Amino acid sequence: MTEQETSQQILDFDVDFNAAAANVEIDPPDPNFTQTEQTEFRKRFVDVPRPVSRLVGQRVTNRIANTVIYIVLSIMCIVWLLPFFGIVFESFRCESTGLEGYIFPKKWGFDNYVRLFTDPTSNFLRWFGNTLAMGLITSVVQTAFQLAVSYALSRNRFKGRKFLMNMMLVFGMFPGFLTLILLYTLLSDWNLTMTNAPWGLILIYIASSGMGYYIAKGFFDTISHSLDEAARVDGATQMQIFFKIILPLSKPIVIYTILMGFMAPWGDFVMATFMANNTNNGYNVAAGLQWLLTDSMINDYYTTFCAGGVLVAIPITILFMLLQKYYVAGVTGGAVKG
Amino acid sequence: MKKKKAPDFVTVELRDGSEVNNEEVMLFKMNGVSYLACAPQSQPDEEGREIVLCRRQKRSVNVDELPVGKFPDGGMFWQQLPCGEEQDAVFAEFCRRYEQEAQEKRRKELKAAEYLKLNRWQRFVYKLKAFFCAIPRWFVALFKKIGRFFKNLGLKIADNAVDLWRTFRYGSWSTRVSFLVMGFGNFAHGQWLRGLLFLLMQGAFITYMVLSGAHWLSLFGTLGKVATVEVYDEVLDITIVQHVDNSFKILLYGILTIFFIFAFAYTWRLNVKQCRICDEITRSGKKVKSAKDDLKSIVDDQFHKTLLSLPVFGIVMFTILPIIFMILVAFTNYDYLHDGYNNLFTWVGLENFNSILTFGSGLSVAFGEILAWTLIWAFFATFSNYFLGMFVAMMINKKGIKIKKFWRTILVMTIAIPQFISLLYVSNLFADNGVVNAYLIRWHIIDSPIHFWTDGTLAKIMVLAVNIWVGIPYLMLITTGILMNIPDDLYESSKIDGANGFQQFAKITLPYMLFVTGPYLLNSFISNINNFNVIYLLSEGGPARPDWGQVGGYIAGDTTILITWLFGITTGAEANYKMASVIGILIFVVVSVLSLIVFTIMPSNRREDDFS
Amino acid sequence: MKKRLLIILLSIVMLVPVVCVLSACNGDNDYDYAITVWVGEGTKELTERQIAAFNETNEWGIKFKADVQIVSESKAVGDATQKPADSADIFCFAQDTLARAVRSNLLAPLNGPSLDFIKETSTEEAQEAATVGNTIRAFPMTADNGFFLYYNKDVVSESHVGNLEDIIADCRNAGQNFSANLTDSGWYSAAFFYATGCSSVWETDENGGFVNYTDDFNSEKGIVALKGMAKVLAMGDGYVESDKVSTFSAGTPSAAVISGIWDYKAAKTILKDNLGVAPLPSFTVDGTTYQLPTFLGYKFMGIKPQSDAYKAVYLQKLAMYLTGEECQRQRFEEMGWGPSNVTLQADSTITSEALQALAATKHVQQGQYPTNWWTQMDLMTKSLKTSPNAVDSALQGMLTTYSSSLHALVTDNE
Repeated sequence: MTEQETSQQILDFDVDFNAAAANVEIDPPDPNFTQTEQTEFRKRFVDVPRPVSRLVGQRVTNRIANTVIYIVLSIMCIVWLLPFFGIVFESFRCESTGLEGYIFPKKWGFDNYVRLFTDPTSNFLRWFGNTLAMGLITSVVQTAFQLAVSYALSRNRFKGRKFLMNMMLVFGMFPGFLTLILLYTLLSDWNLTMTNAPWGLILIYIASSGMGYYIAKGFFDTISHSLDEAARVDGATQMQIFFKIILPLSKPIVIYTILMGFMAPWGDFVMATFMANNTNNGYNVAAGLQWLLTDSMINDYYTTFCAGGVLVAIPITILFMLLQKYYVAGVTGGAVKG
Repeated sequence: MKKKKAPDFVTVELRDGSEVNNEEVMLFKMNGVSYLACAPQSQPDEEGREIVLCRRQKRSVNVDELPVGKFPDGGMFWQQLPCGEEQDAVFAEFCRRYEQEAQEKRRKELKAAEYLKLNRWQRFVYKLKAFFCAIPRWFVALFKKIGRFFKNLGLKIADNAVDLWRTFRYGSWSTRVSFLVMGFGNFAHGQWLRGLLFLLMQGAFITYMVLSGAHWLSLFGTLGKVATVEVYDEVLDITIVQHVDNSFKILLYGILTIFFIFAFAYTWRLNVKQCRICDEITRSGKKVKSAKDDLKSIVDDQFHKTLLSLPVFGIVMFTILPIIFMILVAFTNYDYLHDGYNNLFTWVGLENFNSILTFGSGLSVAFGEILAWTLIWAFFATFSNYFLGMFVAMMINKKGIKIKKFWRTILVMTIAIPQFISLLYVSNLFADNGVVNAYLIRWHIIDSPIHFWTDGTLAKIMVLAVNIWVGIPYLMLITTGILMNIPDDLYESSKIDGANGFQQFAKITLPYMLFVTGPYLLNSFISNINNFNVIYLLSEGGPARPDWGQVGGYIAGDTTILITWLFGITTGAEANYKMASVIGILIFVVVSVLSLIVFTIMPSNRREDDFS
Repeated sequence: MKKRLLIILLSIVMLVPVVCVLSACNGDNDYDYAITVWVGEGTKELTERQIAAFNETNEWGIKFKADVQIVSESKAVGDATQKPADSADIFCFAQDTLARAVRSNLLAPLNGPSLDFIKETSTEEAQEAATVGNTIRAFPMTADNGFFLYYNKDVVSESHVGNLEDIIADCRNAGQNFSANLTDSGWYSAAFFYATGCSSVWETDENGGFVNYTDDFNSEKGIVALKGMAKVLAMGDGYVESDKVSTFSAGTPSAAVISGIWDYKAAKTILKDNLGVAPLPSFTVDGTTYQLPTFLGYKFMGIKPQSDAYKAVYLQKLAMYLTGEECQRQRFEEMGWGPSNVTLQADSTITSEALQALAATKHVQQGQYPTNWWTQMDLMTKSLKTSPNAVDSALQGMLTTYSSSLHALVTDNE
């Protein structure tokens, strides 16, 4: 099966295995077999009547196995979703704002949500706006960079290609936090920290985004070169080939990269906290919400954190579910091939 | 018997500019015809390759026009034009040696038929023996590779020097002027665009060096002399401080200047090379590339350079340069007391590495244990997620399970929710005064709160468990796609042969999955070594271990992994950046060694044919 | 056509948040200097009001545009050290970080008028606390950085409050906990050592470096102190490593908490009339009773070294205003912080239940300690926590480990 077909199958999510199995040939017809030999073969090896007892026994064990699996899956779903229900419930708690020993609120209300937007300490609107701006700009520019690098590395065997790939591999093995302080100093020279931390962070994200080219490159490798050659025969330049032929074919991977680029700033709290240097206006959502849970703040702001968490999780989840099939295509298409 | 090294004058330079060294390529002669042989790994691309034979007499040959053959072991060879009498003897020698080596190899390895005769146990022993015998060969190969690298480097430099001399001697007068004024040769040949760019580069470099480069370099050795100067203003009765030297900036701009110098040297060399090429082209009567050609090629055959320019620039400025900076910091004493701005820092050499690596010091004990836990954590985190995720995917995939889409959707939804929210919440959920403990006490299951995060062993288990909770949906997603790819008739036929479920799994599913997701597993293992979020948000490095002492005001704990330690030291109350750099370098060493090992062992590189 | 519409729509969507964020950056231009101010929790609005009042009423017509951020006082110096070029122009910090601030050159030298102001309006003790070497380095702001006992009147009877063992027994009987941050903050655990008469004194030189120390924790008295601490730590799960009054309302609530004045309001909200405050209790080991003292520390306001002379002068004026009588009174009224101003301290209306409890506790004037000294104390108490019933020799071992690590804390040895 080609990549497209695999992706398509996954996208459909409910392949009928029984119907599919019925269509599968057990043996390809061998041209050396004569017709009678074929029918004899089928009679003896394919259409063998199975003993009834074996079928029944199988069916019973099958049903027990299925029931067990259903139980296990249900338990799994409950366990997996439990923390989220916990967050949602605790975000409606009105009688206290700190860490408590129970989940279900005694007094329900929207106090925490109101507080998110009105309390100057939990500057949620500003944080949300920051993160949204970061997400939008980063996703677009990062996609452009990553696609550019992946395409150049995949298509062209130029001098220095191996060197470049090795350098990126080697330098990618260094932990990301190593250079926090230097990046901070650089950005602070350009006045991109504290209140302007979101812009500084955007710069950092997009500058190094080229290093994450593996998935897109894997995808581009699967696009046949004959398309290129046909276009060259027609007199197209490389740039035209890239924009007019290859890109339209790569819709899943483009959307996947955009999605990944958009979702990145929502979860990054380490860099955001570091670059903002204690300036409330410069936090993104992750840094801000995490700040609410520090020792000195948690007693007053724990439920506010829960409310903020819910408000952040909902749009991200919806976006993810809408673009789910592209995510799956990107991950299975590019990631596993390495 | 050792392979004789080819004489220096035989090199092979391929069209893409890369070089194939003598170990992988051999020139030899058979039946009066000279051949060029390539080892199996270095298969050529579909494009033709330009082969340059003797360095002194360059000759281009298009391989497509030559007959091609194949050795029994898969190595390819081309015919080449004869190059001269003196090489014949060498070729004969190569031919003889090649045959001899192939015979030896055949004698050492068991024939396929004999191999099949061994039973399973003997096969295992044979494989084990082969593996261990191979290890010293790896080391030898590694050292050889390193030696070869340096030798090639030296050769390349010598090569360049010779080329420079020859260009100067045999070049036209404009070329000679180009040695001083960059771009002059290009102007002389009519390539005004390139000439302008070179000239600008030279101008920029000289301006920069005069204005600031020299200053930074002069201070680079000591990283600054005076940090601040206090000036007393009598009129206002106030003392203000003037900042003079900033070690941080000196180090940073010093590195930038050195980069710039190298870049300039490269550009200058490029300039000279282009002049020489222009000379040769003019001599042979053809036309040089004009500015219009250059502009056109930006979007055509040099399009990859256009595409790569901005991203690579970003990577160099924001990844490579900072990492080099931090590596150098590991050799200074940059910490909270010597922050470069108010107090200068300076070079201390290998002192930091000594303190962490000397056997027996408190710091090295901490490092050893943290390293061990990091590896254990990465291993268990990766494989537990992998197998459990695969198991869940298989469960959902099983025939007879309804509403597959529903199960998958629920589990996949949990990927979407930002990790920091769910992890922070779970961390508080299991705190000593959190919900789980409160309910357990209320239901009288336990009397006093279970210390999920404050008991060493329990914290480790909890961290792994929550990581499974985070990772299973993702693994399930990936493995589902691959599982669906396995053709059903494999299972059917195995069932006819009488295999039960477990055997099916072990013989069909598992090998296939391991093959396809091999690289992914490696990536996952490496990224789990650096998995900061899970550990930090859940336990912040775990219950502190006082016996490990403290670094940078941060006491590492039971669940601390290397990267959490690095973070704690960088952002602690007494930021100890030099130790953070040392640990960063050590993380790199660990990760790269592991990558190398696993990559070499990885079977998927070799046995791709087995699955067709 | 559709594609073009989509691109236009996307661009608009992208620009909206950008515009929002940018427009938020445009403030008014009617100010002389833009500064950053770091204050502790709960004081952000108050400080903004005070700075606005200064802008209105100062005699030089100087207007500051202040960006006030909340940074915990114990972290202020650490954060400033991490990023010295970007730290706050005026910041509030706790006394135990003073030497470090001086060592890292984070405090601007004070000019004549400021020094006079401090000498006039602060007590002798405050002035000495603000001195490193021979010069006063910062403006004293509050004089209440100490701790005392909060308790739940329902569980711990008032007569028992003076005795640590009784308090522990009351907690145990009621199945409740005792909260005291003895193992994660040397600040609290040092009280036990000072109770038995040990002392640890560190001399600093003019630059904030530690040149010498006198420490006798490693002695018989030290063992007694450790035994006293072990009484609390032996409660096992009954000991909660926290100094937060929120433990009063936890799943298993605490009946007694050792905390400071900053938590008074929160404690009152939780326990209301059941809240009791008292000086620290005393404990008995081997028949002798020792009274637990508290560190009495100050909170200071410091100024970052400036390169603009006029700005430096006006910043000092601002600091004088913010630590003046008026502002300290406002802080007391809004948050209950004890002032360091001489006049206010003599004023009998400026007092509260909590301040009285603090005043009634025997106190030890807090000097300067190397930052790692607190960490060494933590290491020792954490070892004690793992074996609270250790024999004397084991305790002696812990003390020896502690005292042998002190040598490294002297500045030249760092």
